[in-house]
Amino acid sequence: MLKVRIVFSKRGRACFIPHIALPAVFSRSATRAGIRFVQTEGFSPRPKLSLGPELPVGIVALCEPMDVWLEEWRASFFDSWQRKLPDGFSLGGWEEAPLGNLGNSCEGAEYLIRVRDGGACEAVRSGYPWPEWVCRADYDGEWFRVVTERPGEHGPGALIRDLVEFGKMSGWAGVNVVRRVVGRLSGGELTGEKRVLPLVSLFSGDTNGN
Amino acid sequence: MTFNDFDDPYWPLFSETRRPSRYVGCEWGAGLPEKKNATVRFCLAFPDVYEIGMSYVGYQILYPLLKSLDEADVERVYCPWVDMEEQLRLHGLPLASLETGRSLSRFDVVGFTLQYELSYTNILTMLDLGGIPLFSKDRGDDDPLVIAGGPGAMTPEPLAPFLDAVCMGDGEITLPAIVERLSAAVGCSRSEKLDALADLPGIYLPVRSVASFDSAGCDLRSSQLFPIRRATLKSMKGAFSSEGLLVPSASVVHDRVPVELFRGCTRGCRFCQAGMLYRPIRERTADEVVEAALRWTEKTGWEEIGLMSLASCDSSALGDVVERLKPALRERRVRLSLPSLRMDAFSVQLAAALEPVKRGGLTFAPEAGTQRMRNVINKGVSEDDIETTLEAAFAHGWERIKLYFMMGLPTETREDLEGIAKIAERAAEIGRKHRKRAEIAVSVAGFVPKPHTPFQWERQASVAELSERGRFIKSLVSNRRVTVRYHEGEQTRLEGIFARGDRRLADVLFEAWRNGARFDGWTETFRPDIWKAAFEAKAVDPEWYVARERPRDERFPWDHIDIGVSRDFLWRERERSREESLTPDCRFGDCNACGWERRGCGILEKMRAVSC
Ligand code: SF4
Repeated sequence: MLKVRIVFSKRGRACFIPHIALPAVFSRSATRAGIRFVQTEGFSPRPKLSLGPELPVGIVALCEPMDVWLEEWRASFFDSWQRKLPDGFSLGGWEEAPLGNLGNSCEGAEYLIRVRDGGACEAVRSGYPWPEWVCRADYDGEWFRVVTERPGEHGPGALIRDLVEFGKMSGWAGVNVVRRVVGRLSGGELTGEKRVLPLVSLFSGDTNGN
Repeated sequence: MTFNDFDDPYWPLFSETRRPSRYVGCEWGAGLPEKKNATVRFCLAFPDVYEIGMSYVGYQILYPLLKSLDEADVERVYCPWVDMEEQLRLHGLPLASLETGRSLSRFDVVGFTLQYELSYTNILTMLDLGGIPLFSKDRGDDDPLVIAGGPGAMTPEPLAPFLDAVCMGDGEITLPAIVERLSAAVGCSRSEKLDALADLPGIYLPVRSVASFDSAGCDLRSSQLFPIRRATLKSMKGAFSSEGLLVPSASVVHDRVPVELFRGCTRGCRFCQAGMLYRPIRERTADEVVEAALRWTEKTGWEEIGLMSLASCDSSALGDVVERLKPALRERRVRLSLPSLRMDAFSVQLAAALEPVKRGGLTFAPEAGTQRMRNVINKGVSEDDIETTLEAAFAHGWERIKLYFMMGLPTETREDLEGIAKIAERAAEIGRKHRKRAEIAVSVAGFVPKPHTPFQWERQASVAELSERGRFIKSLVSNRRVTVRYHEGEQTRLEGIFARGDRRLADVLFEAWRNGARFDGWTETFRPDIWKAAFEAKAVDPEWYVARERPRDERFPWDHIDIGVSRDFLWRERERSREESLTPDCRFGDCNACGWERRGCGILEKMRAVSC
C-alpha cells in the first residue's frame, strides 16, 4: 500500500461538478488507466482517497491536493491517469509517500477574487472588513489576492456570501473566484508577504491562469 | 492573469442554478472530437433532468451507434429544470447541447425519447428554448426535423402536431436508415426530407395524416401506407455493441454499467405495456454479455454492473453469465446487480450470491394482493412463491424488503385491497422471525390502462377512488415495521389521459404548457389547476379518455401502429382476465399466438426445430 499525494486542477465547466462527486471522478479515471486503488475496510469498501478542504461549485481551482492510496505507483502512471480524466480535470503533480496527514498539511489557501460590478468592487476595496482568518488581501486593479488560514475550517463559501451581501450584488454570478493553491503557508511578518505553496514537490501546473 | 473560464456565457447561469452539474457535461466518453464533416447532426433530447436521462439505457446504445456512422455526429441535451429555464430566458440564451454548446435549432435532427407521458410539456420547453418552432407546420427548411422514439412513440398522437417523424422500433434499424436518407437529402427542402423518410420501416409522419373523430373513435387518413409496422431486430446476434459508454462525472440515478441480457418479455402480464411492445424475445449469448460487461468495466471504471432487461431473472444465459463474471469482477472489485428480481427462491439465492454483505434492501413486485387478482393480471406469482421468497430473503440476511403493488386494477374488490395489507403484515411477521429490525416498505401505485395491452379497453379508477383505496390499505396496516405509501391520483389520472390520448390533446398540452405546466411527473412542480383550466379552455373532456370502458370495436388512435402483437390476441387476453385464467409464458409451454407467430418469432422457431 502506497500513499501518493496528487495535486489537480478543475477548470471550465468542470468547476460545477460538486466536491462530493470527485472521489468517483478520480477513482474511475484511475481504473480506466489501469491504476489500482487500495479499498477502505468495512461493510462498503470504496477506493481509499482523501480530498483537501471542500471546494464549493463555481470556483476555478488550480492546485488542489488529495491523497490516494494505491497498490502500486510508477512515475509513468501520472501521464496515463491524466489521459483518462474527463474534460476540465487535470493532474498537476505528485509526490510519493508524503509526510503528514493531508488535513494538517493544508495550512492555507490563496484565492483570486474579482468583483464584476465596479461600484461593488470599490466598496469592497475601500471598506470590506476581511475576517480574522484572512491573513492577506490586496488588490491589483482587477483581482483581490486573498490568503486565508485554516482552509479546512474556513472555506470560500461564507466569504463569497458575505462579499455579495456587502457589495449589494445580485448573486454569486457577480463574483469570480479562483482558488490558486491550497497548501503550506509561507512568509509572514519577518520574511515578507504571506503566500501559499503547493504540497507536492513535482508540481508542473500553472497557478497563473491561461 | 487571465481566466477564460469566466468568459463562458453560461457561467453566470450555472452560478445561479440549484444543481449546475446537470448542465455541464464533463463526462468521460462523450464523443469528442466533433466530426467536422458530418452531414447529419443529431441531437438526442431527453425530456427530463440529466440525472434521470443519463440513467436511461437507450442512449448508451444510440449515442455510440450514431457516432459510429460516417455521415452522422451526435450530441445530447436534457431538459433544464425550472430554475435553469428561467435563467436561460433571463439571459436570452438558447438551450444548447452538452457536447459543443450548439443551440438545438442548429442541428439537422432533434430526436426526443418518449418514456413517460408526464414529460410531454418538457418537450415543448426544450423546443422553445432551443429556438425551434413548436408546431411542425411552422418549421421552415432551416429548422431541424423533430423526431421521437421510445415506448411513447407507439402511441404518439397527443404529440402529433409537434413532431415531424416518429420512429417505432429498435433504434439499431431506424436510426442508420434515417441518417442514410437524410445524408442523401442534404440541401433539400423540409418536405423533400420527409418524403425521403416516408417509406422507411417503422417511420410514421404525423404531418402527412389527418385525424377525424366520431362516435366509433378516431379515424386517421394518411398518404403513408397504414398500419406502420414497428421495426424489429430479428435477433441480437451481432447487434451493435459499442466500444465504451458515457460515464457521468456528476451523480445520476443509476450509476453503473448497464448490460442488456435480452430484449422483450413473454411473461404476458396483462397490465404491462413493455411486455407487449418489445416482443419477441431476443437474447444475447452468454459470450456476448460477458465480453461486453468486462470491456465496459475496463473502459468506464464503473464499480457496478447492472444486468438490465425486463425480467433479467428469466434469461436462460443468466446463471452462466454470473458464474463466468464473478471471478473476474471480484478481482476488479466490481459489483454485479440485478435491478429486477423475480419472486422465487432462485432469484433470491442469486441476489444473495451477488451481494455477500446484505447492505440495501430487496425489491419485489407481487403487483396484487390476492391470487384471484394476480390471475386477472396474469402475474404468475402464487401465494407460495411470495411466502418462499420472503422467507428466503430474510433468511439470507436482508432487513428491508420493498413490495410494489397496484390499485385500481380491473375487477378489483375490497378483498384484493385487504390482500395487499395481509401480504405486508405477513412479510413483517416472517421478517421478525429472522431479524429484529426487519422492515417492509409497501408502495401502491394507481393502475393506468395502457395502449397495446389487454387492458387498453378498461376504465381507469378515478382520483377519488384511488385516494380512498390508498387510505383504506393504509388503515389496515397496524404493524409499525410496515410503511405504506401510495401515489396521489391526480398525476396518475393525467398520465392515463395522455397514455390513451389522441390528437385533440395536443391543444390542451400546448395550452397547459403556455400557462406554466412543467415537469408534470414531479410532485413539487405538478400543477393540477393549470391542467384543469387547459382542458376547460380547449373544451376537451378529460373523463372521456379515462372514465369509461371502451367498446370492443372502438377505433383507437394507435390502431395505425402495428407493434406485432395483434389486437385479437389482446382481446382474447382481456377475456381471459375476466375469467381469471392464467396464460402461461410461451417460453415454457405452448405458443399463445400473440401475433408474432406470423412474423418470425424466435421462440416458435426454436420450438419447431426441437419438434422436427
Ligand atoms: S408468437 Fe407464440 S411463441 Fe412467439 S412470442 Fe408470441 S406467443 Fe410466444
